[in-house]
Amino acid sequence: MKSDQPNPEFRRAPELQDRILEMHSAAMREMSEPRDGIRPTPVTFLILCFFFTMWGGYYIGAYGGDWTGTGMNEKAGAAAPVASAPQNPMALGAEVYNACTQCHQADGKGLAGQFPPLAASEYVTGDERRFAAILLNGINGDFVVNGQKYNSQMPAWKDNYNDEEIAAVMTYVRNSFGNKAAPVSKQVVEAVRKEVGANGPWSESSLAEFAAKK
Amino acid sequence: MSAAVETNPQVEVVSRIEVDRSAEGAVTIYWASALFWLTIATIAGLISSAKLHSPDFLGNIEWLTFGRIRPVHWDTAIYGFGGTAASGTLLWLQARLCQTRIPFPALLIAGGVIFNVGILLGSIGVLMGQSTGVETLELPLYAMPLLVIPYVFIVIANFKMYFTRKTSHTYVSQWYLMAVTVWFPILVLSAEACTNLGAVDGVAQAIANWWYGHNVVGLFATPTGIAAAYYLIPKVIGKPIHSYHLSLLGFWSNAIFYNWAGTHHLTGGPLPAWTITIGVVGSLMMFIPVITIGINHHMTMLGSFHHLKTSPTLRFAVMGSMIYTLSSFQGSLESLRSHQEITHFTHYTIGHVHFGMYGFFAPLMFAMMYYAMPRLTGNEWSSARLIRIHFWCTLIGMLVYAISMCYAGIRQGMMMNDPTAPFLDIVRFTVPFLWIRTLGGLILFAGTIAFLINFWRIVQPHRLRFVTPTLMTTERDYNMLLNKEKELEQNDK
Repeated sequence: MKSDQPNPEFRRAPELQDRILEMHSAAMREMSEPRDGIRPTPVTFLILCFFFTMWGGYYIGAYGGDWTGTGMNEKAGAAAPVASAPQNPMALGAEVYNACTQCHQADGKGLAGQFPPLAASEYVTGDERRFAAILLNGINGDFVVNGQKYNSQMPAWKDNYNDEEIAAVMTYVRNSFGNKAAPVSKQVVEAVRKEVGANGPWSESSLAEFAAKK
Repeated sequence: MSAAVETNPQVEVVSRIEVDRSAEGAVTIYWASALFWLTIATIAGLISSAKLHSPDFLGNIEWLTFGRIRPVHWDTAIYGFGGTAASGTLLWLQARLCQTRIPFPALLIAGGVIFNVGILLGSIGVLMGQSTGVETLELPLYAMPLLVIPYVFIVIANFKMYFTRKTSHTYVSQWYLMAVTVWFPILVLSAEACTNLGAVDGVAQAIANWWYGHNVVGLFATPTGIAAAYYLIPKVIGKPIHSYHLSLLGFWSNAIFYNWAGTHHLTGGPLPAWTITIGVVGSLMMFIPVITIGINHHMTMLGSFHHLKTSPTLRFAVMGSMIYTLSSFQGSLESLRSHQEITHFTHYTIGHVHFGMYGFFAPLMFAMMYYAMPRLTGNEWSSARLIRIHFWCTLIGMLVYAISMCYAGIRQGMMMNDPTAPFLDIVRFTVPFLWIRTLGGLILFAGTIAFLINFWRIVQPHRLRFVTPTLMTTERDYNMLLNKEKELEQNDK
């Protein structure tokens, strides 16, 4: 670039209004404002739109739920068969057992002096009527398990779980932590609930009395 | 007669110059604010991002805790950057396409200042812990009038320009701009009424919140971005837009379907099933406008890709319109229940939002600025290298961000669906990807800084100007221009 020539790369900014066109070289060099072309809409695309619309109608129909303000399930009428399907009692029991771990611990060994163990306990693996009765009504006061004395309160679970769930957690406890005993059926719990479900919590003596009469 | 205006190129040039002179102040202040808030939003985003992989980072500063800095990131991004960039775009595009001067520029400039004060007050309020807790409407209520009033000015200016237009034909960009000014005030006011002002309770609030949260992107940012693409692509390459019929179909299907899509954000929530189903259908039906607009933009570009080598405007505009197609396909599929079983509540959603906002909307706003600023100020961009840095940082940073987040989100979702996978393992798995995200954010930030420098230089009152436009390949010597200006000054003395 020669220095004696005026630099062709730059120009002075206009200082007068009449040089307005020069100031706006950018506006002058640009293309004219955009226009619309008139190509037709591709027919294949219109067919595609048709299928999208069909699909939209299908999806609304299939997943509209029951069209009420409270129907949260998108598959109308699908709720009933799901609920009545038979459940694996060990899986259901494991789920329910989460409520027991705070006292009896995840390993079923309990806590010395407070919460009796479920592992290797005659109360668990023995008479299933007595076991169901404990779960339904709870226990209050001194209690001896495997020669160890415990003193605490076990809450009643009759209002929290139905017969199937209580039977399942019994089955689970009777077959976990090294225990091995026959599964408990729903009917056993149902019978015990009918017999003593209205009572308050057991004491050691009243429980023994209940277990003694057949 | 208007037909004469359109056919006589010299008259058109004069009208362009008149329009640009009237628009300079108002549009520049909106776009300068947009870049300022983009910088703030990026910094706030980087802080939020860093906190996810390094929880102790700035951990004992109350104002910068995640629950405060993250809403500030989003609100400054959508209102501070999105609102101002879109407003500037709307004013300039509408004025150009109506061939009218911008009405009451002083009021619009004042509006720009008020808007900035509103965002500033609102963000400080959120940092102080006064967030409303409603996503996307976190700004405290006292800040809202300062955002609404300037927008009223813009709506009035927009209608005034349209009804005093000197053109006979209404171009497709104008449809979108008019629609935005009708939709957005309805959206904001009804969403504020249904959430923060408590017109409805409970689940209905959540529905209103997400109806708005999705629409602020879909019925505000998106139409503005589409309007910009519809203007810039044919303008730069000098070809008509592919098909008027497709423009019509795209516009009306967008208007019909987008509004329904918001509830897909609440899949799995305690909502009546049909509200979510309708949201999913609305989202999926967005394939129609997206494909339509895609055909229109990409077919117009077909055969003109060589312009991408030189035009900075076209680079950003085509990047934006291509990612519009991609991110919209992604978003429609993402709304499906079967897809959400994996990706809902994962990083995938965050990847998608940034892909759309920073891959589609922001580049189109940058393209508008690259195109219009030389016309508004009379200066040329000072450095092609800075433009190149800005472009590549935006593209690469965006891809790093979106790909890492989407991949991590899918894996994260699959692990979360496995009940045996310990939760902490899932968290640990995402940490490297969160680092990659911060890296992507830093790359984007570098691009923003490059653009800021260029923008700062172009709005300076220069006594000397470059004669030729700044293209991607142009060698620019800004220092030489400054030296010559100094020489001139000394000669004058």
